[in-house]
Amino acid sequence: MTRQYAFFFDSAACSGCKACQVACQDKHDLVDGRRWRRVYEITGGHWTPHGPAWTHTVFAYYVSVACNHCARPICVEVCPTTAMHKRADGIVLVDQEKCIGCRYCQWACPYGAPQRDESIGKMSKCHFCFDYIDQGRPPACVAACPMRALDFGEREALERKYGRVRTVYPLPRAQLTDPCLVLAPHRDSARAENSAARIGNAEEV
Amino acid sequence: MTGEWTLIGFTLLTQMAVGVFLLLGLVHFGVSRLAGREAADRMSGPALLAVGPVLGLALLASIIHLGYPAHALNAVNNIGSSWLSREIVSFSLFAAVGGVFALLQWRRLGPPAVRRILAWTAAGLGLVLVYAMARVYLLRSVPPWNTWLTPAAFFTTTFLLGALALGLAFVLNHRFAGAATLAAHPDIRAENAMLRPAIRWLVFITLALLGVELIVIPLQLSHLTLVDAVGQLGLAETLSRLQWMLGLRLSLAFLGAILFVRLLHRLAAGDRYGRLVELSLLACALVVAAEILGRYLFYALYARSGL
Repeated sequence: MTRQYAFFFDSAACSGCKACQVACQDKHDLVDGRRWRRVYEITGGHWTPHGPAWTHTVFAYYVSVACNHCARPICVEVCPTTAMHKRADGIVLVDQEKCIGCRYCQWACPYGAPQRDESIGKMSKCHFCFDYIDQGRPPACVAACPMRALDFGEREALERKYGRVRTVYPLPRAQLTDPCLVLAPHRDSARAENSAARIGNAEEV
Repeated sequence: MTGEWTLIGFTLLTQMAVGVFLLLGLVHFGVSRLAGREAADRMSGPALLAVGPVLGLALLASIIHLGYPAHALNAVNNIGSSWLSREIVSFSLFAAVGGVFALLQWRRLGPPAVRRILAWTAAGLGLVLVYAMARVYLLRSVPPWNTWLTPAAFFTTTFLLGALALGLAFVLNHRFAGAATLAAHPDIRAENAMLRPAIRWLVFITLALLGVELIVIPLQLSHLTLVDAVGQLGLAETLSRLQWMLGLRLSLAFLGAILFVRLLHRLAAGDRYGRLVELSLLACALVVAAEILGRYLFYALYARSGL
């Protein structure tokens, strides 16, 4: 029995194709603009003239984020109804039979995971494709990634395999919610953080 | 987050109701010492009954805020860890105990000691309610709200709106309980004499609280710098878009304060009818408008850590 599922994301390998995001929207019929998984483009740097030549420090990388099924999930803490809950295998779910659609979880989550389904007035979020998991299949986003930048599994096993990096710019510090996320950061992520690089595709996420 | 009108309505109306209840208790205490309990009861009765509809409107606004109101009762499920549940529970308790007290007081039912205990309990629950309301916004992932300035601002608004509503009610009472009324009902002379000092004290309280806001608002703004980089970009955009509103909010409060000082002059001059009502209405309207804009800005200047 898995005690805590987690995602792995390799920011160095991601090409920003958004197959994960589209696979998620497709599987869950997210036709109203909800994105349970989003791909952020982080971009910065500039060009400097040196006599007749120019050098540049331009960079860009991607961060694919869904719900991190946190070990200390702030959405579960603040939910007034107990609709937001954590399964025995660590997956954080909304029980729509209880949800009142107050959006308090959405205010609190530093990953933008809970999103309201306006057609029913209740919250919805990434549920780690628990239906696939229960059938022994990978989540739709992981299966769709052509770069093999996404992986999933037992948190401890993923940490043994890939390390223990849990945040990368512009994700929040891991102490806030103890996210069950394992990351391989892009080589330019420190530079992005130091220069407060912007999100290049804000209108897409 | 902009356009949170239902929450602006819920928080301001609830805080006004609690403020009126608490200040009414204070006025009742003062008047019963100076003019006797009978006069104090007659003076505070109508205002006490007005708290109910205000709470009703607040409840309505909170329900409209929900995406799925049919499940609204579930909001009290997580009292063990959610301040939102605690807010709703304390709202209900304040409304219930305050309502029972108002009913008994109105009909003069039950021994006065029981009514007094109910009044004190409701007052305590009112304070707990405003505290719980503020704690809802103390989220560790939302730095602009996660400061003692949030409860400070909420309690200031509570007493400010309470003083305005109660003061205005007394001014209207003072204006329309004219010589003819007094002649027909000689028994209301005692509390009528108390109106003027009560109004004066409520204006003092109002001015003091407007002063507190002058301290709290800049501190809240300085707190915005604690947000991390991505949030900063959003806040900078919001601030530049809503700068006019912040300016208007401060100007309205300042103009309101000037009018309240003018009102004090009029009261001191013993000016019974001359535009007292118009002046009070205008001053209250300016400060209430400032409070509405202030709460709008509170929600608009939301920014969370991370994405």
